[in-house]
Amino acid sequence: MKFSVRIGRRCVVACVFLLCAGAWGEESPQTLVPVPGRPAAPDFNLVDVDGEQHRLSDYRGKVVAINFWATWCPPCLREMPSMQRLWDQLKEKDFVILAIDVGEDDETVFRFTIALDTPLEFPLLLDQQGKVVAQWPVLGLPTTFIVDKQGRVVYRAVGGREWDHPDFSSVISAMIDE
Amino acid sequence: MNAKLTWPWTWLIICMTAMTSSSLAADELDPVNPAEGARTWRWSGDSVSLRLTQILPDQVRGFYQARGFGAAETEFIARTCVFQTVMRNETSAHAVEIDLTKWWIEADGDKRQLKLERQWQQQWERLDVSQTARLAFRWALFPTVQSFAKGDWNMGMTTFVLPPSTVFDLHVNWRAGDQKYDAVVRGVECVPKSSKDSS
Repeated sequence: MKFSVRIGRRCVVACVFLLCAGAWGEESPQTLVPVPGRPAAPDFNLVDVDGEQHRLSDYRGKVVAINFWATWCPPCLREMPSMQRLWDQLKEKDFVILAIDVGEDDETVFRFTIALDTPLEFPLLLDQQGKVVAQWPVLGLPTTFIVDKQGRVVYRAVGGREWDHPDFSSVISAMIDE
Repeated sequence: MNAKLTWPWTWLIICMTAMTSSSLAADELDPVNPAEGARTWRWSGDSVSLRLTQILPDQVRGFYQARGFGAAETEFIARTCVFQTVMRNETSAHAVEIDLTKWWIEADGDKRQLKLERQWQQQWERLDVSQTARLAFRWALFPTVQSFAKGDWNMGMTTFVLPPSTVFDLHVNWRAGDQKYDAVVRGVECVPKSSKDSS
């Protein structure tokens, strides 16, 4: 009973935000913004929804897309399937996606993933206290950073994107091949 | 001699300023068909678009109670005039810089500021709201300061301390490169009071 009330409440919430998400449907340029000076990416060590630890510095030698998101954020939900498609394209190469949920617990994130049409295969990390996001230049969700093989932040994107757009995969492929 | 040199430049500056202001003040008020009673206002001009959609008190309650706020604290938010706000840099090659402390509203002849994250967080601190709830609040709110590169956009709640049904003009401004812009979204309306909220 309690569980169904919670689910119902969350559905209402999702509806609110999806209602407000109409702006997404408008055509928008698919852009990655170069980060001046390519600063070193702040390291972190977070657990994912399966209980596995992920330390960013352990991925040195790979290109890493770091996506800050939350389950209640409509543009975050909207871009997830395209992120999965990008993962499908590049997962055999030196490329990793780390999607960091901000401020929610594993139960919330897990329930969100099982409700999606597209199963997400890349790691979903939990930053429940918001300590990691505070170390990154993030003002709104979603925000995504592309970190190069040397651990430098090379690009950022504020707001949702269609991540399997050819422009993105070619930029990331070029970084992988560098 | 000085006057001859000065006048054309002064005139040019006045004309350019007037052109910028007038084109941007020509806001496109566009109340969209209500969905569950919520109305939307859109404005776009000079590479930027802005959209405000009413968030109904019950929707506010649902969202924040699911994120660790108690009933009393949630009522503070639900009784505020809340809009889901989307801003986007559509085409400007320069980053669009916004600072909500410089935005203001005009309602019934009074000028007021928006209620921003800092004020809310001070309130939550006084009320000893949990860190988890405060974190959710911070991320759900439209950021006070933000920079949008071309193609960037963001969505979040903006809040106005106004009674239900208040109609107001929202005066927005931003900077792109070394140019300042301003615009007015006219006739925005807070959600009317429902019978449920009359207590």
